Amino acid sequence: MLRVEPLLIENYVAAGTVNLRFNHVLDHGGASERASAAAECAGQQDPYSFWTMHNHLFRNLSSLFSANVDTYVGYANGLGLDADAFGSCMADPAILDKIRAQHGYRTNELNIRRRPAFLINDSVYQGGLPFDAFERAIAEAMN
Amino acid sequence: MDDFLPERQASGESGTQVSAGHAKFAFLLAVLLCTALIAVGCETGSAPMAEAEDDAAVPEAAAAEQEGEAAAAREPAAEEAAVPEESSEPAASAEVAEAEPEPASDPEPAPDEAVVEEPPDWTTHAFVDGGYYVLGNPEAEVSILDAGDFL
Repeated sequence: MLRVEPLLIENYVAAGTVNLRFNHVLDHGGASERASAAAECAGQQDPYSFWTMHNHLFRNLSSLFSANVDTYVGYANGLGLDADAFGSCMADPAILDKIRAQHGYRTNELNIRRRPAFLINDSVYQGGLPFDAFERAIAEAMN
Repeated sequence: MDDFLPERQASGESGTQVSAGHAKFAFLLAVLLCTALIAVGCETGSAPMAEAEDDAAVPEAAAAEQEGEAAAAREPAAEEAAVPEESSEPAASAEVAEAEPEPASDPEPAPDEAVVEEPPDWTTHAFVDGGYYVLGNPEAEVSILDAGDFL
């Protein structure tokens, strides 16, 4: 999705025919939880900030394994978010419960074992997909 | 008038020499003549009367001129006052003229409507649905859920 997502946004989201949502997957323990919590806490301040933090995390993917809460508070501050509120959110156990629940949904209900995986309307696609595969899947979903 | 008086005086002088019948006849004739002359005098005498009236008319004309000047001074006000009356019809036509372009101006709001109808920038529009932060059009035909890890 990382490479394809900009094309989907440019060709489908901008046209209003497709919307995107992100389901947290926690395959790397605490590091995954902190990164997902950072995105959730950004979204609490403004739904679009979830996506700005989402993009920022993917751009800094290599540093996320060693990132701690202060690292994410620094990211939030750099994105113009309320750092104090963000820090409080990162310590909120309800956030961790939410992202764990989404991970469980992906694993237990969608029965997805591979990564990445996508749910396009009601159809599950596992594994990386090139853009033209998304185009076909979107066309099928629209018919 | 001056020509008439000597004639009458002449006729009066000659009446003393004629008989009573002739005098009556002359008197009646004179009355008729006088009546005729008066009638004629009213027609021809209208000139002196007109002259007299002209004499009086001069002040009237002067007054008229004065009134004209005053009126000229008042005219702007009168015109201003008249403008709405006179311009009421042009105003009506102006309204019509303004009203006529309205259909032509209808296309003008159309761009505004088009501006209003322009789709929002869905790439920066996000909302919450079912606990997910969703990017894009809430009414989009297709929803893609990315089950992924940031790491």
